[in-house]
Amino acid sequence: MECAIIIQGTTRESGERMFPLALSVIARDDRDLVVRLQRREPQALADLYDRHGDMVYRLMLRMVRDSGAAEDLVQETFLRAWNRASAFDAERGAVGPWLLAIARNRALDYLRARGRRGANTVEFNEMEHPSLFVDFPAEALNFDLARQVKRALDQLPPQQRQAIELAYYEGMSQSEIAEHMDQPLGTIKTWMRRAMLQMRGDIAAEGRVTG
Amino acid sequence: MTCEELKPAYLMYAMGTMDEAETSEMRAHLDRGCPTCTEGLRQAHAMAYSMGALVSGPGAPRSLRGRVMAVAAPERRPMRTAFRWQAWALAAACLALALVPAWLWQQQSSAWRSREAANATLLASARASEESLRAELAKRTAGSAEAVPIYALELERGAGTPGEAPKQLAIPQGAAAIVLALPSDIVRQASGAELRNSSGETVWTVSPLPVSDADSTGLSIPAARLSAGRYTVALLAQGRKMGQFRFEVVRR
Repeated sequence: MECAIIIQGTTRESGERMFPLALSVIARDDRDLVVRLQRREPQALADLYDRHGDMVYRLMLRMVRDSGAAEDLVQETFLRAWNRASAFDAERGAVGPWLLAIARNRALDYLRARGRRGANTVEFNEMEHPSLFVDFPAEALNFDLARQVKRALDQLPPQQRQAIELAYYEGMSQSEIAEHMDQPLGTIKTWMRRAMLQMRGDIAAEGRVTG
Repeated sequence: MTCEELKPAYLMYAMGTMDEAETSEMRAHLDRGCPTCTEGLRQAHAMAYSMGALVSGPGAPRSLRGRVMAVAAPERRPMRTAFRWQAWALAAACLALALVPAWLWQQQSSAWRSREAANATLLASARASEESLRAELAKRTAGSAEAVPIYALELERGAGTPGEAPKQLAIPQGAAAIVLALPSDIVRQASGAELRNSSGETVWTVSPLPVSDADSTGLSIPAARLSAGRYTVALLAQGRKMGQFRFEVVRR
């Protein structure tokens, strides 16, 4: 295994109490899983779901706030992964991040179709292309980064944090965030750039991301 | 823009929330092969991934696993079972009506109708993978001058994958129409579709779109509308493009 397994907020290896974190187990044998998906083995899809299904469902529920829709979107996510696994680099790709990118795009499509996202929403097709997840940074496969990202988010001024969360979880463009938060677009851009720099700085200070 | 100027925008780019002008600048910078920004973006993707993985809450209901596994279920059945003649005859009449634009339906010959109904059923009822679909169609249409080619298109949202060469669709002489098989998960969210040539002229539209429970939904396009050249088929929702696919028609 490449990283510890977090179960109900506790790391199995050290017993250290963690914040409640729905982080999926990501292991070295993901590459074997991809190879089996590419061979279209149904059991590989079951294994993929068992490994990442809860994480994908939680993200869907957080974004669309409807359990029925979340279930539909999870199914669509795995269908897309099933149909597109052939484009994935089994040796160098990271399945979990790719799956989350697909899931997020499904949720954004859903929100857009229901008018909860406006016409200014940017297109996300590039963000789930398998090539983006080749040689994914090793730290993405370690729960430490998630913990650091959460800590960095917690340390942001509330408005900056809200802007980041609106961007990620609601899929809002900066213009939409400006409208939503009733702030000038320039202010939103400044907040988000400051937030990015602070988060990168906080995480770099812990040695995970080079600043 | 310089790497230092782009650095604060890595995560916004990774999340897809930059404005179009800034996105273009970032893309142009990356296209020049900047190793610093490429690495920075990979890390930004890792951070974005972490935000997705951070969400806490209840896990998925147990019943969902079975639904997800149903995605792979059709491939467990032999293709022959999925294409039994009796099932075809019953399903074809219903599904073809849902899958074919009515105006085209009225204009085609009875032989064409029959063939399209069969092909539409092939798409809708078999839930076949793209590869299986191609293999089955090759068997069914071999040697026929009136064959209706079906092209399974991996439709992308937005502008599609940049830099990718358009897929070539070879349309045989005598083909009355072609069927574009599109992923139903995107089609279901769209209200219409349009086909434009390389000059940007609309050569074909359909609205509303057929509804299908299958993985793929077929759109029939009269072959007479397609000369050799490049085209874009786009799905529309609320007046804007949900997704599109570029292809090149090659007459033979």
